[in-house]
Formats: sequence, structure tokens, C-alpha cells
Amino acid sequence: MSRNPDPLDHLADALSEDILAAPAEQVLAEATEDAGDDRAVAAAFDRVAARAARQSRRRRLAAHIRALAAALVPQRSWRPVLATIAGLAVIVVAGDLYLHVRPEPPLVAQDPSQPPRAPPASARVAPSEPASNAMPQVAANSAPEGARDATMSEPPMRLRKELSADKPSPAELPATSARPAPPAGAARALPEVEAAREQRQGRALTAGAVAPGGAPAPAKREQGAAQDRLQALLAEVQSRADADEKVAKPKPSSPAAASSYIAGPQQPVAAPPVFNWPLRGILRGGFGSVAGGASNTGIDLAAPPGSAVRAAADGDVVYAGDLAGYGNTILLRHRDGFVTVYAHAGTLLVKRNDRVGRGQLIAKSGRDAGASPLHFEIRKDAAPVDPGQFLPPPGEAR
Amino acid sequence: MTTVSTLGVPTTEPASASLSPAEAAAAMRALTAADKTALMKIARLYARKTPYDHEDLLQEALCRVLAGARAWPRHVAALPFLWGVVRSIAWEWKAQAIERAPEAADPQGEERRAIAGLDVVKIVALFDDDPVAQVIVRGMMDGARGQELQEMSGLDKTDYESKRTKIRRRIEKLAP
Repeated sequence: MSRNPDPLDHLADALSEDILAAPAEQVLAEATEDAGDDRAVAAAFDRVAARAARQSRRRRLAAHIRALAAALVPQRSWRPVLATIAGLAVIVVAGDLYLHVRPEPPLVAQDPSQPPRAPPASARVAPSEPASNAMPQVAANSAPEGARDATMSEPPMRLRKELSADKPSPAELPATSARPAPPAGAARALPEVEAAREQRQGRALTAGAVAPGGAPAPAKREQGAAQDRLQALLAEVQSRADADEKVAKPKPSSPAAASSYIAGPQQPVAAPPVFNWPLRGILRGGFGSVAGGASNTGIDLAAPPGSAVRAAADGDVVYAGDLAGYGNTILLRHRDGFVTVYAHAGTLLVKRNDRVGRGQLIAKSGRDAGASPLHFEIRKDAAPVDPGQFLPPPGEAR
Repeated sequence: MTTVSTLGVPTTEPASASLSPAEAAAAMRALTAADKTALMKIARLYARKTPYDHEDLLQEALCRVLAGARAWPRHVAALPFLWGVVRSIAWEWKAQAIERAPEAADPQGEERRAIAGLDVVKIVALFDDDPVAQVIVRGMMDGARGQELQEMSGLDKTDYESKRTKIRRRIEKLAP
């Protein structure tokens, strides 16, 4: 043991040899003497192993996504950047023209004496609420966290502190997901079209606000620099995808077209994709739930074997196959930087580069779906976001 | 082609020199209560001088093995392999802790050595009532092993092994 000259290391080496050489009966008797139960120490080991298994899955997934992101990044080119800049310039000019050409609105649209208009049904879904509120029926069916993994316990010491720091406080959650206040100019408005546009903008801002900074991204802090690199890679992938989308979009060529681009209800103002539940089942673990020190970056859905797993939204299959620690996994890339993850699936029914539509059957749940429920994540620019913000209330189909 | 690994875990790939993460997980699940207890004891020994506790140390070791970051040679049994992983991570953490504590604050590392010396003194003092045990402990700290230690103690094999067990138990009960 010349690697380390520390006497205490030599001592630890020697005593470890003794421990390994000791008969099993003696080791268990010592455990009984120390802890009062010969299985107590082994049970503690099981808890540690369970935490290690979850931690290793996260690390492998992060490494896999990193590799995937590297593979998805196309060759470097200035063309997407220039196209993005050109697109933004067109939007700015068109908006300026619109503001100058448009006549002043004749009236204040909303009579102050009238009661405020009730929010539309989609707003009542309350995507900004925590998942537990947004999914009451499912939450009622879900098992308590302690029952989900009976072998888990509080993590020890510093790890426990770090992991608890990862979980956003209840005070943080509404702040990160709250809808922004309507712009000041909204008070003067306007017909239905304007209200609809504001709704879409508010929703888009909500989705955008969740991802990079305010998202409860426990893995980000835990993985440290590696996660930062991952974020940067996926952000780069996404920015290139966005640039491609903008290049493909028709550009308004006249003030009238520019006006309709800004205010017209048919224009593709950036709204987040609409997601459906991927599986009809029981919610076994909610987003951000901490079990044994590990924060869930998605939700876990249990269902009978062979249940249909469907695409949560329109998208492209960027990965379909076995992912170490995650079993059969599908990654779908959607527009606006969203990626959905379907892990621990059974039979996969799609392959890479397939284009799928929302609700399309993409997999069947596995045989052990009760023990390893479908793990579903929504990621925005590689950061996990609360699926409860994007999924409809349980039982409500879109 | 489906083959069966040395651990009895079916695999669809030809056996490689080291266990796959799935095989490693299966091997860990196959550990007995005594094996698990032994590993916890070992982790407690090595965590003594790291910034973390023994469960953190063991968790990191198991995590690295399950994530495939540490290759598990197929011919190595579970306990010696995991012991080696725990030991190397403990050394790594200790080295990191030393790097984080800049030498400028302790130019000669004297304070650190003094603290380590206190630990050594504390452990040796545990056996003030047993000079033979003290000789064995000092020999262990110097890196002596097996026959050499037994000869230093002057005990026969049975008494020597009994003495080593008593030494280990007393040190284990010392608060970390």
C-alpha cells in the first residue's frame, strides 16, 4: 500500500482486510451488537444502493443526451445566425410600420363598469399551479412518496443538504411559473383578436420563463459543469432549429402583411406546443418529488402492461432504443426547443427520424410497468420543466 | 446470441472483460446481508478523513460502478472490487479537500499533519491498556501485514487473530 503513506490509510487497509476475511456470522453478530439488529446495517446499505442507482441513471442519461446533442449539432455555419438576424430585422421593421400605419383605436374596448371577462377554459387549467394542484385526480391515486420506495430514507449530511437545495421552495414555484402581467398597452384594447393574441403571448412567456433560469432543474446543479455544457449544447441545437424554422417561415413583404403578422389571429405567434398525456394510468411520482434524495425530473406513470404510449405532441423521433438505466426510451423533439422523454417503455413502435403526430401510438408500456412506470419528461432547451404546466387536467383530452 | 455471464445474468452480447452496468447491478443485488454490512464497515473506515460520511462515500462508489464509470473486471469478486472503489474515491476526495484548502493558509501543511497526528495518537491511545495490541496497531499504521505483524506481536496464530478482531472492533466503535 505504498500509494498513500498516511498511517491511517494503512490502518484502514489492514482493518478492511480483516473485515473481508471475517466469517459472515461474525459480521452479522457485530452488526447486531452495534445496531441491535443484524439486518439494520444491510438495510442502510440498500437505501444507499437505491440512491446510487437513481444517481447513476441520471448520470448516464445526461451523458447520453450530451452525446446525442453532439450528434445533432450540424456543421457550424453562419447562415442560420444571419437568417435569424434578418428575420428579426424584418419583424422589427414590420412592427414599426404597423404602429405608424394603424389608426388609433376608437374606444376603450372594455367598459370599466362591466365585470371582468371570465378566463377561457384553457386558462382555467391553471398551468402555473404546482403539479399536485393541476392534477388532483391523479394525485389522489398516487401512492405516498414513502410507499413508492419503501427502502428510501433521508439522505445523509451534505448530500442531503445539496439535494434539498435542488428542490425549489414552494415560494419559488409560483414565482417561476406565474404568468406575466399583461402589458400596459393592453388596457386600451381591443377586439377579440387582440385578447387572443395577449393570451398566446402570455402563455408563450410563461413557457419561456420556466426553462432556462427559473426551472426547477435539480440535475443542473448536481451535475455541475457537465450539466452546464449539456445546457449549452442543447441550447445551441435548439437555437439552430429555431433559426431553421424562421428561415422556412414566409416573411411579410408589405405593411399590410406585417400588420397581419403582428395582430392577425392566424399568424404563428410563438405558443408552446400542446401536450397530451402520454399514457392513461396512475401517477406514481410527480415532478420535483424527492425520493431518497433524488429529485424527479419528470413524472412516473404506471399502467397495465401493453398500454398505449402516445406522442404528447407533434414531433420528430430523435432517439428510439435502449438507454442504459432507462430501458426502452424514446426522445421526441418538438418545436420551440421542447423535447419529451418516454423512458421505461416496453415495445417501441417508432424509429429514429420518424415524424409523429400528437396522440400517435409510439410504444407499448412494459411488462413491469408496475415496478418501473413510464417515466415522462418535458424538457425545454434541455432543462426539465414541470409537465403539469403543459398537460391538460387528468381525463381532459385535447 | 444469448449467453450467460459468470454471474448467471443472461446477456445478449458476448462476454467482455468487464461487467456491464446491468451485470454490476445484478451482482450488487446478489450481495448478502453480511457482504453489505462489511462494505458499510469498510466505507466507515475510509470516510474517516474525507469531507463526507460513509454513506456518501459508498453511494458514490456504487453510483460510479452502476454508471459504468468504473470497469468491474469479470474475474474480480464483488467485495474486493467494491472495496477498491471505495478506497480510491476516499483518496480522491481527500486529495480534493487538500487542494481546496490552499497551502497558503498552511504553508508547510503542518496543521494538517498535526491533525492527522492527533488521530493517530487518539487511536494508539485506545490501546494504552494493551501493549501487544498497541504494537500491532503501530505496525498496521506502518504498513506491516500478515506474518510480519504476527511476529511483531509475539502471539500464536489464534491469539493474534483474536487480538486483531478486538483491535478492529475497538476502532470501529471509535466515533468517526
